[in-house]
Amino acid sequence: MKTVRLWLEPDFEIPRFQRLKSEIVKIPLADVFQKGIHPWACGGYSESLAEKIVDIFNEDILKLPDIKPLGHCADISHLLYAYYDSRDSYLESLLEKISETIYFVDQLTFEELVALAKERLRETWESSIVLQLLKRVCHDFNEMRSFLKRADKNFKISCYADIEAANLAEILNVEDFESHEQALIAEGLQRPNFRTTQFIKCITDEHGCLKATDRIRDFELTANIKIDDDFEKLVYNGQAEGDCVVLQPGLNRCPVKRAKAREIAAEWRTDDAKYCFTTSIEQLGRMLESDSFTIEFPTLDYKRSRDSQTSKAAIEEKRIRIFSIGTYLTEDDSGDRIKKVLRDHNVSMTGRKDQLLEKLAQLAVQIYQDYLPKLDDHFRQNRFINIEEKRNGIGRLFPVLKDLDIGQLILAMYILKHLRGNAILEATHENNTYDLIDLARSIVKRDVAPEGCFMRVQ
Amino acid sequence: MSEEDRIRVLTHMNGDDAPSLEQWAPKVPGKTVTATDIRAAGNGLQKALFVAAKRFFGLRLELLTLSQFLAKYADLLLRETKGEIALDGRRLGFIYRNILANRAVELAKQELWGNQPLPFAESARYVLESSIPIGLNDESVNREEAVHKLEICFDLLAQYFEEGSEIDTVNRVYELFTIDDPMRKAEILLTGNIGALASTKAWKDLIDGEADITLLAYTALQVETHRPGSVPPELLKSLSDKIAGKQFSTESIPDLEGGAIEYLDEIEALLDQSSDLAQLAAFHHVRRLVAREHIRPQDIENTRERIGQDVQTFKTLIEGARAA
Repeated sequence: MKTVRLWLEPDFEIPRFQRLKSEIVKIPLADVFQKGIHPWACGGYSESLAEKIVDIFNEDILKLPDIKPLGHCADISHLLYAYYDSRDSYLESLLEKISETIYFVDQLTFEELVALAKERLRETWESSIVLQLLKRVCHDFNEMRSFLKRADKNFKISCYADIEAANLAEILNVEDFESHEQALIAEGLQRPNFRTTQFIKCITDEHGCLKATDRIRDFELTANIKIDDDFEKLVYNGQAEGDCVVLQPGLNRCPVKRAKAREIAAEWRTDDAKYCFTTSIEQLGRMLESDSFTIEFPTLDYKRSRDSQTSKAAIEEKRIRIFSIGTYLTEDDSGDRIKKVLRDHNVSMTGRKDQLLEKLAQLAVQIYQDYLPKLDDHFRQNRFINIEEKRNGIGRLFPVLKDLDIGQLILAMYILKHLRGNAILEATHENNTYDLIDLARSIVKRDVAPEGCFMRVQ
Repeated sequence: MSEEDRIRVLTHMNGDDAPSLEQWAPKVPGKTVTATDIRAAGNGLQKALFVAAKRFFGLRLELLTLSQFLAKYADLLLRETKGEIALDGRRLGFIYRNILANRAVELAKQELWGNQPLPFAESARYVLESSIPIGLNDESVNREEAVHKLEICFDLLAQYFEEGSEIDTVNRVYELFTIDDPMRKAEILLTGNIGALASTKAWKDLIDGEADITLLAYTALQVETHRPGSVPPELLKSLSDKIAGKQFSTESIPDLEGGAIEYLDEIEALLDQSSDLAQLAAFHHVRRLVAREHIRPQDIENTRERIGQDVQTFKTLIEGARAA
């Protein structure tokens, strides 16, 4: 496990001031769970850490009281940009921004600041800097001219070009700007922004490791497992409690995955659980070292409260056997299909579609009567209850007349004829609402149809 | 009060009624009742109350389960009115005494003067309705509807007051309307002698309700196939529509979550059943098990037992139906 170590070191140009430095270091896994050290490049909401650091940075307590009113302890923006190809890129860019633009000091008065600015200007005194200073303190050409004339009465100036061409570093010195302290600070120290060195203590532990919470509890452990030459992920949701972690696998119906979950538990657990096992943080460290697992913290959010992720396991699929009528010929079918059935049963195929449908109905009645003893026999031995089921393809075909081309039509007729109370299918009951030919006509015209599915009576 | 009695009361003049009549027509007897009649009535009343008091204590010993009846009635009424009519202990005590007292007076009148008492159920209903002043203080209560529900609840349990009836019938009806267990409901509906009203209302409530009654409807229709007439014929289709095909597979059982995953194998084992009913019962009970926040081994054992009990109840019902 890695994290960011932060420290302050003297600025190269102004050693009195300190700059923020950082590096990635290895840390024990326990430090993440028990001390809340930020796990580098494993967090779920990585921008939240950067936001939290900005919040801390902008707190008044870390600003220097003497120079804050003069605008030298400015807030930094929450608008962060992730321009690195990294999980912690928001954090990286923020640290870089702080490192480049912020000076850290223990204490600093305004007088000290002005003195430091003057000292810095004297060291770097040259015409371009003087010109910038001049522009800061003078609002127009006339003011600039007067300022320069006060220093050198003989200096001839008729336009801006004369000023820019002059050796200003010779004409003016730092003391000429004595009364313009803010300009001296801005130019000498390049618009400085200061914080106390306490800042780093607010976001690190005693070893300088980055932390913004007291402990981290939730994590995700992933094992890559091989199933039929493919790699699949077995994801555990984990929670750390004290020295232990509890791991709960997400499982589907795949038996290999389940077997692997049992195998992992048996190898790494410290209890006797089969799937959801407990182990020590130390042991978890060894799991990660084995390179068979990776760890992440997908719900880690330093700004908002996030619910823990919950593992789920799907129950093995089981289904009670139910039966339904398959598709049968109706007026929606093409004339050719109807003709084919008529031809197979040696019935004349001439006529319009409504005449073909009538022939089909008459054929159905004839076949119904032929098969009635067989159907009665079957449904006397097997009674069924009608159930509400609108989904297609859920029920299997009744184990009777399966091979007959208009078997399902015949079954539809039989069911409608023998359904008691529209609920119980039994051979001994007979509905007389329709005679057979009317029933067959109504079915092929889709006026009536058996609904739902059927389950066997025990 | 009958019309005849009402006329007798309104033409009655006695005591302080019309005191000026005697002043202005001193020779005409203004009162309609003589002192002798009043004395006779008073004596009769006194005699009746002495007899009634004895009867009261006799009835109290005879109707030891009346308190159970009233307690169950109050709970049923509370459920039926969705909490609108709640009878507290004091009110129930008042009703209890009134039922016994009213019946005692009826029996005393029969003993002394041969007055035929009302059937006990009617007498109790009269007392009950008179003792619950619905809507007197609360305008929000729809009095007609409340009285209707009050009567329905009474009628559901009224068998209690029939000659030779036991509290068991009340218990069964009460159980039918208060338990969640679908198999027990089915058992009571299909085998319990609970009266036509209770049976019809229970079926109607089940069919009109939104609760899933797949297991109950399935069981009822299975029994109906073996013993036609077990279910009212007009309800067959409605019951059949209540058997939801989506409950016929493990798709109806939510995924196990969190610590429950540890018991995946044991829970799946509960679903290994040999018959459709057993499997349907297993789906039903496992759905309930999985809905629990935490699952313990004991919960799984309890679920296994419940599935077994349902299968046994079903077998008993089917065997009973076959034998009938």
